[in-house]
Amino acid sequence: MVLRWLFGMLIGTAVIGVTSPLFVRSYVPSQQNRGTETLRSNVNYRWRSEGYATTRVGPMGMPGKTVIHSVRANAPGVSRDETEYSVRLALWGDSQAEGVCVEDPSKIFAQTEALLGRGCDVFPLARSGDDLNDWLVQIKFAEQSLQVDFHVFLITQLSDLAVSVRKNAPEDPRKGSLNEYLASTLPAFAIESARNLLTNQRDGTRRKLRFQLGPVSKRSQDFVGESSGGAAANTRFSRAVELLDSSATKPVVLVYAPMVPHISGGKAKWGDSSQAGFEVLHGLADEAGFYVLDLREDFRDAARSGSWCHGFHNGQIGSGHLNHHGNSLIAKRVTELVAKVVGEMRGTK
Amino acid sequence: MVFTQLEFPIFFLFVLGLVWATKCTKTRNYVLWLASYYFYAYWDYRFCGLLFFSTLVDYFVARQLFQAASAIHRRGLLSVSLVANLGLLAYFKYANFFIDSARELFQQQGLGSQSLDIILPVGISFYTFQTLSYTIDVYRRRVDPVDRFVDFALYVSFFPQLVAGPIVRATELLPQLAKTPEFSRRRFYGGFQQMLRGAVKKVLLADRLGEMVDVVFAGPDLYSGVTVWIAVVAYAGQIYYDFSGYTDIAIGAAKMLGYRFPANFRHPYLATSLTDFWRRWHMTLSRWFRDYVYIPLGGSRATRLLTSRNLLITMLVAGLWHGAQWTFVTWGFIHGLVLVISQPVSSKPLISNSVGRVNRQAISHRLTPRKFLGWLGTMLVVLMAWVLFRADGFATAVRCYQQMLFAGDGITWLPPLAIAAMGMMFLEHAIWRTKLRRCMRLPMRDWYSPIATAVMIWCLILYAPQGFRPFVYFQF
Repeated sequence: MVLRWLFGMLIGTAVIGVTSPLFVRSYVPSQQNRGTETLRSNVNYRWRSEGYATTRVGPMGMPGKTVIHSVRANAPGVSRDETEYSVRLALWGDSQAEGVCVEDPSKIFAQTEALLGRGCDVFPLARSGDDLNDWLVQIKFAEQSLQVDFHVFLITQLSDLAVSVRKNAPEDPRKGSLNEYLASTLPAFAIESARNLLTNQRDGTRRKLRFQLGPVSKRSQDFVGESSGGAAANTRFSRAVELLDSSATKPVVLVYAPMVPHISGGKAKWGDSSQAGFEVLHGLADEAGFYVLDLREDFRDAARSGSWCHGFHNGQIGSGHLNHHGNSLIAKRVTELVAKVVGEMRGTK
Repeated sequence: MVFTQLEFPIFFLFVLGLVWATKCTKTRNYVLWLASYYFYAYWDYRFCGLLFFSTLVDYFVARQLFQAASAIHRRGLLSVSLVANLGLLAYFKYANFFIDSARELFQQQGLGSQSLDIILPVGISFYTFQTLSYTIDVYRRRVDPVDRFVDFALYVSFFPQLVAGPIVRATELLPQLAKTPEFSRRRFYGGFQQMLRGAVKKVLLADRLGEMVDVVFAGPDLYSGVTVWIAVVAYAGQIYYDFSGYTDIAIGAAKMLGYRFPANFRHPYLATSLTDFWRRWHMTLSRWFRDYVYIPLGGSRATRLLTSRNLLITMLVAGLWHGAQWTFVTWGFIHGLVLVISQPVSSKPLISNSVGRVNRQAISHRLTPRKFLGWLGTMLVVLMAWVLFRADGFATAVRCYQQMLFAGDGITWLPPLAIAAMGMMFLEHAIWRTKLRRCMRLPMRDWYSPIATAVMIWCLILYAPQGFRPFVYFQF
């Protein structure tokens, strides 16, 4: 009986192992690329919550981009004609720009490439959790190695432009190599199970069991509101714009695409709490010669017509990450701007 | 402490080990009593005093009741128990309800009124009803008072059923507590499987359904009529799986400790009439209201008019028991009204004396057109009434009804996991009507049992929704 039960439980575990890829995300080891840690190239990365997609990771850890279409003038055997109409964009941002929750053709970079046409490339250099500090260290690589013509920064929250002297405490290298070892050795469902048991799912902190008597006082979370306007915003964004201006030698496009409108507490919220901060940023960006795209009205119009730009059926419509429709609106606006700028540049030549 | 927290299995295993290590009944009961108070104090130690007070009052009242000879004396003693228990319930659960309801009246008289800052003690509705049933049964001479205080204290506070039932009668549990149970491998295994089933129902089904329900009920006018309908069906699933899941864990835990609890649910969404629904839903509460409210009012022994009155009063009180809001009272009223209206249709007693006990031979499982129509009508009434049960007020309920009945415009949201959970609900109920239902208990010797057990355990670890969601019936 005991042996039968042990054997049966092993079979049950195997059933879970075989079916888990339908429901459990990937745990993929990372690698060093472009001066930072990215997903490993040539792997399939599954995303299974709030969106559902499998992303093919291309060269340099670029999610979804496996082919480079354009050629540069200095590539061997390339004639000038072949390079004349190609343009290369570097797409920066965080998980919203990375887009692992949508399939590859629906990602911002892919939709932009499709609209720009043959011979153009959009390099998705965004990673989940990235902010200005991460982008700055990679800009030089993008300009020298990838020979990009434009930098496109997808700003979904103004706090992404906060500059810190030292972003995070350096991670314990032993922990990092343990994570890499586990990710490359254990099946995803085993890692996910361990994570669910050992950590709090909401914030990823280590789970602590409580056996002491209640009541337990609930600490209210101090909500750090998004930036307001005023002198503080001026200082904060001045520094960000200054750093971007000094790091990037190619044209900079700031795409402002916050989660507007969104559904929260049973109500649709149409306003943008960061309006004042954005106005300050817009002014500073104009002075620095940056291009600024404001997607808010596009998102609002879409929502009014029933096509919400954020959220998924397996998450919540109107909240969360950009979906295919949201990405398409961003791709359309970026394409229009780039085409206009490139046209102007060619016209002046 | 909540059954679906990680701390509970650790606590339970510890208690299990201690309890089965001792043969002495008294020691066993002391261990379980202390464990039960620890279980309750895990939420808030301050309210253990309330639980102890209720226990003390009814223990001594019952002993005096047994010895008292005169009817006046006995009635007086019973009144002490009623006042003490219902008084606690009235203050903690209903004080603000009455203050808020009377606020307008107070304001008209130029008097101010302010809500009180009262914490609702977890489980108070359940344990006060449980102790009340004991003193009333002693008063009616249906049960003798218990001798050992620890036995009675354990009966009141026994942790598997303390905070959300089932409401166990003294005649069912006290005789079991009076002796040390024999260990039975079959019952121990059955208890484990029932606990596992309960956890799956709560975590994988109820909580998934709740994710959609919470969002839609927060703002029903944002969503299309189809989505609101799906959310209402999802709520029906959520409340059923949440509560029956809790009950399964409670009954399973008791089994593993060697005790037997009565069933509390019998697939209520298979009911073909509202009368049948109340023979299948929260059966221990139904029988409590039958025995201590409906029958004392006269039950169905009098004229049809009086029977209708008794039904309505019973269901209004049942509604009020569920929560201190007018939406719950209205929910109870709707059920009462439909029960009254359906009186001439059903030839069986409206609230059977054999709630939960079914003459299986007499039941035909064939689905006739009449049964199907009866089922459809019952489900429509139950679903529409659930809207009131879930909504945070009449305004929200009206908005839900508007979207549902007038095919409102809005976002059509089709969450796949919630829909899959509803699919599981339909499948589970369909299987229950067949002989396959035996397989659902996963008998120890059957080949598929270990496979299914492993799959359920892994699913609980892998696929539990993020965040902790309390049991719905904790709020009652």
